[in-house]
Amino acid sequence: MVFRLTERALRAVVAALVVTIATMVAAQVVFRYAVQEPIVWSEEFTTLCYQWLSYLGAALAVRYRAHYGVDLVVRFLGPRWRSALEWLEHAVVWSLGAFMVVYGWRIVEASALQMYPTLPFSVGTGYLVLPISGVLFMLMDLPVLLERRARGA
Amino acid sequence: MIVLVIVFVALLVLGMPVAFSMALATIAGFIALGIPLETMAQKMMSGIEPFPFVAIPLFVLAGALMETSGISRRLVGLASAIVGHIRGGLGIVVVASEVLFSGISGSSVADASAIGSILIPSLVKAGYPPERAAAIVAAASGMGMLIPPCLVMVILGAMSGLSISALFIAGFLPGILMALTLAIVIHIQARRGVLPGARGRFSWAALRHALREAILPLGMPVVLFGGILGGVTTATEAAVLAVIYALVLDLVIYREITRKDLGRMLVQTGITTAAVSVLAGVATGMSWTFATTGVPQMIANTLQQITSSPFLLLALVTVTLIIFASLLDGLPALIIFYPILSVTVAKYGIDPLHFGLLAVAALGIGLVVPPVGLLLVVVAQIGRVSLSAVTLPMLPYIAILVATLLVIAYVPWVVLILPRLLL
Repeated sequence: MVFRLTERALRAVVAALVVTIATMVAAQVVFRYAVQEPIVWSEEFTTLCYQWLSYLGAALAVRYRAHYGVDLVVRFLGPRWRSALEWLEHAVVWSLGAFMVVYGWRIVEASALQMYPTLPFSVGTGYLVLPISGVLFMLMDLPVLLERRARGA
Repeated sequence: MIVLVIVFVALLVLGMPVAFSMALATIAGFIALGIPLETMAQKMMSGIEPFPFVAIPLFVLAGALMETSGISRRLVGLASAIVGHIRGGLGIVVVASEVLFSGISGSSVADASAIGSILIPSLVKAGYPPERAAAIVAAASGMGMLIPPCLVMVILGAMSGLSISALFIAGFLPGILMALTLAIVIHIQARRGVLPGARGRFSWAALRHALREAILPLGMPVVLFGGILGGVTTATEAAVLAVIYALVLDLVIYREITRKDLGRMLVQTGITTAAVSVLAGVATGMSWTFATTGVPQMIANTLQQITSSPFLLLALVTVTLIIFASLLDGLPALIIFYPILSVTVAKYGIDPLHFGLLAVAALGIGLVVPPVGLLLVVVAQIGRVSLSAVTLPMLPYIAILVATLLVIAYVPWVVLILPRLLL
């Protein structure tokens, strides 16, 4: 239940970020050429949305196993090896997730006072996406793990 | 440093996601070198901070919209009305389709499975042996890498600071050259009876119909490239204009995209963007580690001792890229090796734009090289043929791809003339 809700919320946020990015770039074109008055904060804001999109979307990619991978060797392995490697993959995802939570949070704190030149909040606020996504990596990995167990793998 | 490489290769071989393997390997390297780990977290963000990266979701979205709204389908319809009646026409239509819409979704494998699952069955139905059908689709996908708009170029530009527009324009001439030679070889094979030579009838009525269908979709490339070629818009802005054009076209006329489609497309765009961007962000950390420990310099110096000729160097570098692209998929190979190799290439006085495009072309070939090329593997699966069966029919096409690559490598003006004239 929790997983499904998180997944749906995450999908909504990711979709909204894509729309925001497209809208901001479009607005930038309009303001530059038609109104001749560029929006000063648009570039920084769009970049920030893109960074959030990247790491939040990566959590969804964990859920759907959509990250780039190489199965050149794995293809030739038996089921027991494969199952072991699936466990390793969970461990890998959790390790990076944990890293992002701990060290992401540290850089959030370290840059809490540094402001974006054109945005009314701190760079630390922007970096919040790392610890948040770290938690989401783990959270989105769990349903995959549960589904595997349900299949008896 | 050695720790980093060992961990990375081990995780990669065991089939772990590339981005995660890279991240953990870099973290292990940091620990071994005594670099504070906060630096890695910081690189993961700063690596994807340059504004050109924003073009990635926009191009992915534009590609998805073209596909779902039927713009791609109508353009392919036009292509087959024009060339379908020539001998080998259906094979040539495959090439034309790849010219029109390959490379935009970011994953060459996804492209190949999308195009392959439509075109291979129709080729087989027309009498093409399945292994030849698969070979044509694979070869055309490898070529499609060069033809803009291509996501690999977007990422290369964002990563290296090269202008995305310049990369697009630089790809035109060699891309078209490659497409034409492929088409000619397919035509010759059809005449010689290697491929079915049945010719459809050419009909003006059908062409008129296809043209009427495709006239508005043709606006898509115009919107995309008009601004870039005219130097009016950046590639990022052109992508958003293309998104708007496709949306308006669908809302007003085609109405093929349902609200559910749209939602799914947006999420999928987010996921594709994320997979690519996290890779780029994490790779920044790894490249930075290489750079601070002097690896690119070391490689450059070693190579300079081996050869002082840019001629040989380009060959060496290209072969390296082909090998790793075939093993790793194009994008990860580019993201890992471009920063390292570009240092070397600069020392030999090779134009970065020239090298960038050469790298893109090398990736395209690496992906379809038998027996490991990732894209070839996928296409063979779709065509239900074994890899060994598809290898032989693949050879003439590989020869063409390599020939074009040599032209790109050693006749740089083919790459550089259009960007110089137009930008």
